[in-house]
Amino acid sequence: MLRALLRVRQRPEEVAHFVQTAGLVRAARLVARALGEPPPRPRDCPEWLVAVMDHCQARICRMDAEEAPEPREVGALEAALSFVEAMPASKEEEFQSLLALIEVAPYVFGPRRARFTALSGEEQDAHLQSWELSRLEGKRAGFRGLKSVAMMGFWTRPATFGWIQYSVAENPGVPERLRQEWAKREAVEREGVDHG
Amino acid sequence: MAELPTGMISACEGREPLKLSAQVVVVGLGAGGGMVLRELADRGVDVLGVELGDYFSPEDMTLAEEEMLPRLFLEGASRATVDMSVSVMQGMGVGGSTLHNTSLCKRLPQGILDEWERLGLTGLGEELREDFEAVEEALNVHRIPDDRVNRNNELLLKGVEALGYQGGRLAYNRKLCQASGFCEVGCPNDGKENAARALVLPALKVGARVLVHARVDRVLHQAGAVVGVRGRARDPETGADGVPFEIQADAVVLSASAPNSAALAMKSEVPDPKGLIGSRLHMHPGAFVMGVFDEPVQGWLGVPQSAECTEFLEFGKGAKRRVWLVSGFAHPGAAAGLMPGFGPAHGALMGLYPHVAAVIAMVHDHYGGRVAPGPAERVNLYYGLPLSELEQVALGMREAARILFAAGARQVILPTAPPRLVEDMTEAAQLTAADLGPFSPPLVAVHPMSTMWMGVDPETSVVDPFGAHHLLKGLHVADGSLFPSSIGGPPQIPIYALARRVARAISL
Ligand SMILES: Cc1cc2nc3c(=O)[nH]c(=O)nc-3n(C[C@H](O)[C@H](O)[C@H](O)COP(=O)(O)OP(=O)(O)OC[C@H]3O[C@@H](n4cnc5c(N)ncnc54)[C@H](O)[C@@H]3O)c2cc1C
Repeated sequence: MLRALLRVRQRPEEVAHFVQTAGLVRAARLVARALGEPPPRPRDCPEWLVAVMDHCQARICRMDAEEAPEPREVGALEAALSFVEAMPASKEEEFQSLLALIEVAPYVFGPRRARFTALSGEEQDAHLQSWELSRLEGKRAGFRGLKSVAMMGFWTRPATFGWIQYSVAENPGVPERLRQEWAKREAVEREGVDHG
Repeated sequence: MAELPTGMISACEGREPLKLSAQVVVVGLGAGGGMVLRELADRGVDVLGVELGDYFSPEDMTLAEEEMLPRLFLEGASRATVDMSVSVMQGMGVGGSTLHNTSLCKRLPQGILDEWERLGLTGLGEELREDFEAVEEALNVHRIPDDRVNRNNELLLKGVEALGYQGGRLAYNRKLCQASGFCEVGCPNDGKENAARALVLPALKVGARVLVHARVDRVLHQAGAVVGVRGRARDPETGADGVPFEIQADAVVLSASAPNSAALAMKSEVPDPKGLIGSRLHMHPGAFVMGVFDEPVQGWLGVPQSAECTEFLEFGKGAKRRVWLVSGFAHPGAAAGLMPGFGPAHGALMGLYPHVAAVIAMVHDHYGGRVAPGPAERVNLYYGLPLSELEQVALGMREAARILFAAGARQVILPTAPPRLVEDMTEAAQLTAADLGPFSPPLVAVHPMSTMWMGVDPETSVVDPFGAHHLLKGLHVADGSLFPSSIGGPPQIPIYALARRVARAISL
C-alpha cells in the first residue's frame, strides 16, 4: 500500500482519496477476517454480503402500504446485484466493502453489539439514517451509493410500475415488438406479486 | 451483442495480440471522434477508430434501465466525483455520449465566443459558422416541432412565460424519432442522428475502420512525435481485460471525452511542463427540482427535453447569474435514486412520480476541478464546489421552484438533506448556499469538458486553436476537452463543430 501511495501524485486530495478507497477495501478485508467470513470478491459476491444488501434494500425500498410491492417479492436483490456486477471490478469491490462496513458498524458504534443483519427493522432504519445524515462525508457518500443501487434494483421491477402508473408496454412510441415483450413481463410480474 | 457492420471488428475476436497500423488513429467514437473519423475517411485518409465500448443497433435496446445503463455508460453508470457528491454520466460505445443523450442542439453562445476571442482564439467567426452549418446539416438539426413538446416541457414553458423570463423551445437532431422517451436508456427506434448513425456508419462505407471493445491505455511517442497507441481488449459482457493490441500511426486524435482523454494523456506522459492537462475540469453540475402537479405529467412519454430558460445565464468573468434551466426527467430506477429520503416516506414521494415535472438547474461553472487517471478506464474526478458555485446552485433551485409554481405546481420538492417540501415560493425563496453542500442536493453532471483546452500560448493552454498539441507532434484533441471554459449550454454541437475543424487541420 505504501508503494502504491508513493506512486500517486503527491496532491493532498489525491492522497486522501487513495487512502479512503484503499482504506475501505482493506478495512473490509479485516472485517471479513474478524467475522470469519470470505472477503469481498468482485463478480462473485459472498453470501454474507448478499445478505447485507438484501437487508439494506428491504429497508431502503420498503413502502409500508398494503398493496405496495415488496422488494423481496419482486426480484429486486438480483437486479441490484447484477447492476453492481456491471461496474468495473475495482468499483464492485469497493461497493462490497461498503456492505461489509455497514454490517459491522452497529457492532462497533451501537446501538447494540450486533451485526446489521441481526438488528430489528427499526434499528436498521435508524442505522441507515445515521449514514444518510452523517456529518462524515464518507458515510453520506456510502449511503448515496447504496441507495442508488437499491433503488435501481427495485424501481426497475415491472411489479413496481403499477404503483407509479408507469408502463413500457403502453408507451405508444415503443416499437410493437418490444411493447409485446414488455406487456408479458409486466403482466407476469404483476401476477407474481398479486398471488405471492 | 449486435452483429458488427462491415469495417468494424472486435478486439475480443482473436486470442493473439493484435498488431495494426493506420495513418491516423482516433481514440473514442463519440461526438468528437465520430466527426473526425468521418471527415478523414471522406478525405481518403487511412483512419482507424478505437472504441472502448460496444456497437449497438436499435434491436439491442431492451429498454430495461438496469440492463442498459451499465452497458451504455462508462464505469457501469457509476462514475462520480471522488467524493461521490456529483454523479457524472458519460457514454461508452460507438456514438459515445451521443448514443443516449437527449439531442438538444445549440451553437456556442456569442458571450462564450467573445470570451474565447479575448483569450486569443482565432477563427471563431465566419469559419466556425461554416462548421456549425455543416454539422447541423449532417445531423438534421432543426427546431423541435410543437407536437414534440411533452407535458413536462410544456409546464416549463408555461412557467417561463408566466414570469416573463427568457427561454423557449430548442432544436434537436432527430429524424426517425417516435417520441418513445427512452433516449437515455438507448433509443429503440434509431430516432437520433447521433454520431454512430450520422458519422461512424457513413465513414465505414468510405473506407474507415473501427476496432471496438478496445481500450487505449497509452499513446506511444518517440523523440517528440507520436508513433501509435497500445491498449487491451475489453470484454463487453464482463468488462474483463483481454488480449493486448498495438496500432502504429502517424497521428493520434484523442476523442475519449474530457476526463478520459486527459487521463490517457497523463498516463502516456504527454509533455506537460506546466501541469495543465486535466486541471480545468468543468462539468455543468445540475440539481433536480421537482414540482408536483394535480394533473398527470407522465414525463416518460414523449421527447424528454425540448425547453430551456436562459433568464439567469450570463457570460463573462464577472457574470453574477450563471444557471441554465432545462426540463429534467429520469426513468423510475434513476428517478428513485434522486428522490430524497428512503423507506415509506420515499415510497410516498415515488407515488407522486406521474404527477411530477422536473427542472434541472445546471451551473455554468467557473470553478475548475481536476482529473487524474485511475485503473483501466476509471478516472478520478476531483471537483468540490466552492461557495461561489453553491450560490449558483441555490439560485437555480430557487428559480426552478418559481417556474414550477408559476406553472401551477401545488408543491415543490427541493432535494436538500433533509428535503424541503415547500408549498409556496416564500418558503422556497429562503434556500441559500448555506443550506447546500455535498449530497445536499445530490448533483448530476453530464457535460464534462475543458481538460485540454485550446489556446495560442503553450504556457497557458494544451493545444492550439485547431486541436494540435503544442509540444507533441502528431497528437490532436477533438472532444469536450477543447473548450477553454465551460459553455453554459448543450455541448454536442460545439464539440462536433470544433472536431470538424480539428480534422480539417490535420495534415499528413
Ligand atoms: C444523459 C446525457 C444527456 C445529454 N444530453 C445532451 C443534449 O441534449 N445535448 C447536448 O449537446 N449534449 C448532451 N449531452 C452531452 C453530450 O452528449 C456530450 O457532451 C458529448 O457527447 C461529448 O462528446 P465527446 O466527444 O467529448 O465524448 P463522448 O461522446 O462521451 O465519447 C467518448 C468516447 O470515448 C470512449 N472512450 C473513453 N475512454 C476510452 C479509451 N481509453 N479507449 C477507447 N475509447 C475510449 C468512450 O467509450 C466514448 O464512447 C448529454 C450527455 C448525457 C450523459
